[in-house]
Parts: sequence; C-alpha cells; structure tokens
Amino acid sequence: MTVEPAAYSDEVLSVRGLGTRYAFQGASVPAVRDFSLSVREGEIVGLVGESGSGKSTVLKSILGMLKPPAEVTSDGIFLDGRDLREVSAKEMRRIRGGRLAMVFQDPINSFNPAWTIGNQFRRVLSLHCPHLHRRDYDAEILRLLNRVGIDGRGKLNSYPFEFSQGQLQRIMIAVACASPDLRVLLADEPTTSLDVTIEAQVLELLRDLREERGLAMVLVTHDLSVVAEMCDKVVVMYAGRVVEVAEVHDLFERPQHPYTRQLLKAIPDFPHDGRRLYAMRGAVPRLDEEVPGCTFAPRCDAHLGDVCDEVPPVLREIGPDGRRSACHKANHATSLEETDDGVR
Amino acid sequence: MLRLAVSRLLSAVPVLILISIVSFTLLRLAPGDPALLSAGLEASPEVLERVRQSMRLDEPVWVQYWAWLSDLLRGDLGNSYSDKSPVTEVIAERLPATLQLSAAALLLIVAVGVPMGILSALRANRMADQVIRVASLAGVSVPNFIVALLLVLLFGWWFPGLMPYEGFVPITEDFAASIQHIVLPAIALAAPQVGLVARMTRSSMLEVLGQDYISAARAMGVRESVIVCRDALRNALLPVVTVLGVQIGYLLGGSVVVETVFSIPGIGRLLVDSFAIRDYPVTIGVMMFIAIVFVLVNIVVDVLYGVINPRIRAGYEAGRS
Ligand SMILES: Nc1ncnc2c1ncn2[C@@H]1O[C@H](COP(=O)(O)OP(=O)(O)OP(=O)(O)O)[C@@H](O)[C@H]1O
Ligand SMILES: [Mg+2]
Repeated sequence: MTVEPAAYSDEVLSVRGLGTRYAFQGASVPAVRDFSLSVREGEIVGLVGESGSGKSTVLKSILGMLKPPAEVTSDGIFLDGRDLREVSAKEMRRIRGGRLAMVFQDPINSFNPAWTIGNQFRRVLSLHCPHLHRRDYDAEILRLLNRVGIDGRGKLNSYPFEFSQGQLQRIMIAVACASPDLRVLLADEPTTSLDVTIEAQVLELLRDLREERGLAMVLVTHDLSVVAEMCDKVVVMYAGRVVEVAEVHDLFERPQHPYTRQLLKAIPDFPHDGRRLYAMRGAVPRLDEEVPGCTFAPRCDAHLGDVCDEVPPVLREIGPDGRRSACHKANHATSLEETDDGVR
Repeated sequence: MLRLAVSRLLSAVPVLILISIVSFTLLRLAPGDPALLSAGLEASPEVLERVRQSMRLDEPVWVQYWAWLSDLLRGDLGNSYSDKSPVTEVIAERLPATLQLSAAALLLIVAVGVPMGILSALRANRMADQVIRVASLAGVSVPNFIVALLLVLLFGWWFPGLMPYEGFVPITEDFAASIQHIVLPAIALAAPQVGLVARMTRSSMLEVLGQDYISAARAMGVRESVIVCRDALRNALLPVVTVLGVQIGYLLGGSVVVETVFSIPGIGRLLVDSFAIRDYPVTIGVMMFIAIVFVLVNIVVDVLYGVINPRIRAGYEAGRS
C-alpha cells in the first residue's frame, strides 16, 4: 500500500484509497471504500464482484464522471504518474476519451439513437485527434472500424439501431480506441449483453488491442470464466471494498478470501455432474447498513466467530506479487494456505 | 410518411362522426326553444309554428342530423339562425382572434415551460428545481377560469390601467396594442399547460440524462453544455412535442372560457354566445370545427414525430421501398 508509483516504472494507472459516496434517500451512503488498484502497461486487470459491489462506480470515479450529490475522495488517481485530482476540468475532458477511455455494458444504449454512427465517430475524432484533417475523418473511421472487424463502407450514415448488438459493441470499442494516445481502456462488462460466440470475438478483439497497442485494461465482469481467459491480475470486490487481489492463476489455484472461494464454488462444472449447484446464501448488504465487523461475515462459510462480526478486517499483504486479502483468517495463518475446504 | 398521414386521416373519420352524433343529440336535448328565441317571446303560436317549420325543427332529430351531415360533406355548415349568414363565414370571421390567442399561448408554453423543465432537470432536487416543481404543480392544478378571473381582478380592479384586460386588437391593425391586449388572456390560457410542459420536459430530460449514451458522451470528454444541448435536448423534446400537439386542442377548449372572460371575439366566445341564443347551426359548427382541428393537429404531430425520430423515419422509408 505504501509503494510509490515510481516503484513500478511501467505502472500506467494507479488508484489509491478511493472512496465514493452516493446520495441515497437524502443520506450520503458509501458505495466504494478504500479502493486501491494498480495497472501496468499491457496488463489486463479484472474487477469482479456481485452486482452492486461498486465495480461500475469505481470506473466512473476514476474517469471523474460522478457529479454532486455523489462524492469522490481519494489519496490519488495517477495516470502515467500524473494525479488526476490536480488536473483542470478542461484537461480532464481531454484525458477522458483521449488517454483513458471507457466501454460500456450495453452497446445499444451507449449510442445516441438520434445520431448516425459516422457522426458519433466524427465527434470523437474532432475531440481527440486534433491533427487529423476533417476531410480525412471518413478514411480514419473506416480504418478504425476495419480494425475491429467491421467493413464500414456505406454504413457511416446508418443509425445505431441498424446494427446488431455484437457489431455495436465492436463499434463502441473502435470509438473508445479512436484516440492515438490511448493508454488505459476501462471496460464495464463489455460482453455481458452478448451471446457466447460474439462474446468470444469481442474478448479476442480486446486481447489483440492489448498486444498491438500495449493498452492496459481494467475489465469489469462478474463472469469468472472471462477473468480466467483474459486477465493477468484480479481484484475481487465485495460491498464496495477490495477483499482480495491476486495474479489470475493464484486466484483460481489458491483463493484466499472466503468470498472468492464461494464465488468459485458457485461456478457450475462442465460437463455438469448433476449435483445441485452451490448457491451463496444471503445477499449483498445494503449501502446504508453500517456493519461493525466484516461485511461478508453473515454469508461466510469460514466464519471464525466474534472477531468476524466485531472487527473489520484490513486488506493485508499475504504473499508475493501484490497478493492481498482482507480476512481475519489470513491474519491467523502465517503463510498462504492451500485450498483445503473442498472448493470444486 | 404520406401513407401514415392518409391512414390516420381515414381512421379519424369515424371518430368525427361519433362526435357529431353525440354533440348534435346533446344540443337538441338541451332545454330552450330556438324558434321561441328567434321569433321573440310575444310571437303567436301560429308564427312560432311557422318559424319552427322553416328551421326544420319539427322533423325527427335523425332526419335533421342527416340533412346537416349531407350538407357538411359538401362543406356547408348551414346558416346561422340569428342573422342567416353561412356558419362557415361566421366562424372564419371569428377565427383570427382565436388563432392569435392560441398562438400567443403556445408561444408562452414553449418559451416558459420548456426552459423551466430543462433548468429543473439540470438542478434536480436542488432549490431551483423545488421552486419550479411547486410552481408547475400549482399551475397544473388551477383551471383557466380561475387564472383568468384573478388576472381580471388584478389588472381591472386592484391595479387598473397597467394592462388592458378586455377586448381584442387584430395584429394586422396595431401591433403594439394587439400584443398588449393578448398578454393577459394568453397567460390565463397557457398557465395550466406551462406547468404540464415543464413537468414533462423535466422528467423526459432527466430520463435522457440518465441514459448510457450520455455517460458515454461524458466518458468521451464531451463538454457538459454540449451534452445538454446536442445530445440530450433533442431526444428529451420528442415526447414533449407530442404533448404540445395535444395541447393545441386543449387551448381551443380553454379559449371558450378565456375569450368569454376577456371579451375576445373568437370562436370560443362564439360557441358560448351562439349556445345562449340556441343558434344550433353555429354551435355545432364551432364544435365540429374544434374537433376537426384537434384531430388534424394530432395527425400532423404524429407525422412530425416520425420526421424527427430517425428510427420511425427509417421504418417508413424501408416500408416504402
Ligand atoms: N447514481 C447513483 N445514486 C445512488 N446510488 C447509486 C448510484 N449508482 C449506483 N448506486 C448504488 O451503488 C452501488 C454500486 O453500484 P455499481 O453500479 O457500482 O455496482 P456494480 O458492481 O457495477 O453492479 P452491476 O454488476 O450490477 O453493474 C449499488 O448499490 C447501486 O445501487
Ligand atoms: Mg455495473
């Protein structure tokens, strides 16, 4: 937690101590607390957690898209070593969509229905490719579309509803990657609304982009198979907090936090052996509920006793490569324990 | 587009016929004898009977209706009982005042209601929004005639001389005086609708501002003012335009009261006056006129909606080719 950004020379995005509060029924409630993240060049970091755990909120906070009554606080959000908190509003607009872009979950609703695809592209080019001449826009758009596997000839004057979901998601990725300066792509469940074959294509496209342009990505998903396929590192969130950070192999081989284990346990095996699926009991706590101990304690299969209900666990270094977990159990054990309690 | 207009027109015909039957019957059921009013109270029974016959009031209602309808299909609304001039002429003569009043009211509705709604949405749940919401609610809940009476009271009784509260000057005659005379009636006519449009605009704007494509535009680094004006406004105003179309119809209805209170010689006033003397051809003529305008405006709005909305437009274009 105390590592300076300079320690990782290739670190492109670093978020420290992020806290986001929303106004909810007149009160201010925390949606994200003490969130930290570090992404290196060319690295894909997965952000997983159940619905409502604050994943989208994290991305929006990083991009500076939340406005009052939402409140965002942090000890620093660094892009290439530059603290975004100190950047002017104008500069921030240049960074958004310029060096830091976002892809949304629902491609159909992410395009203005009243604008042609060509016009939505032209806008991004005029904002982020100042050196490009207007008359070259269409050629550039066709090139960008080609890059995501779409032949855009004759389609620039079409409206979003004239494309399929999969095409739109590709187009959105193309729009997000239009800026030549792009460093980090924030992808919020980019494949959730797609069917499996299209999902595979889009994931491959993202991987290619990483290879080609050395893009770093934060990939939000609640699908652990996407994580296994795509990510280098994983951050597991629960109720607005980070509960575990691990390299992707480590996470699947040796999940440390009981929440991660239970998540993994809930994935059906294939082929399915016919046994009943494991389902996590309970539900994510409400945002306005103040829990004195561990927020996961009521649903935890490895509950230790009073300590879990009374003392909030801290996110602690528990191994090499930034391995961390926020569980009292990890505090008790001195080293990484092997998965023993029958995950899978 | 043309096909849509034609099909809507055709489907409006039965509606209009139904309206005509209902209003025709209701008028004949109303107490009061037009012949008596026309011939005078002291007319002898024989004279009265003759007058009644000349007005065809002695025939069964459905025969009268049929005669009226077949005239109507030839564009003839009959003649006024009182001065025997054609009803179409009487209406045409009174129409400019109503048009001017409705146009002024519509202008007020758009010029005040829409910006109020936008401001309210942009300041959602803050001070300005609360004030606007309370004001619109008050506006919506107070009927035209209360507003009209209050305005007359205010400018005719408490502060006389500030503002003309009576009469009408055609805009072609004296521009300044015309505007002055139309202000108060237009406010009375527009007040309930302004609140409605402000509320519609607010909710529609909030809905659009919550859409993903607005977030996407923000994530792209688009300036907030541009997002509001270019991305949000156009989509947010689509449903408002539809409501405005419907409101033109209500404006005509509201003009009946407002024109009466402010002594404006429009068709609303004509409706009231003609009914008072049981001048049935005029009364029903005005009613049908208002109904037809209402229907036409709605069709125009539907077609316009298609023109603004690319999705619907594309649908028709695809259907045509
Ligand atoms: N604008 C807002 N105002 C108030 N509360 C909000 C707002 N946006 C999100 N929340 C709340 O914050 C919490 C976190 O939401 P967020 O969208 O970040 O979750 P998520 O992890 O992305 O979930 P999902 O997987 O469903 O997308 C949720 O409880 C949500 O209800
Ligand atoms: Mg989300």
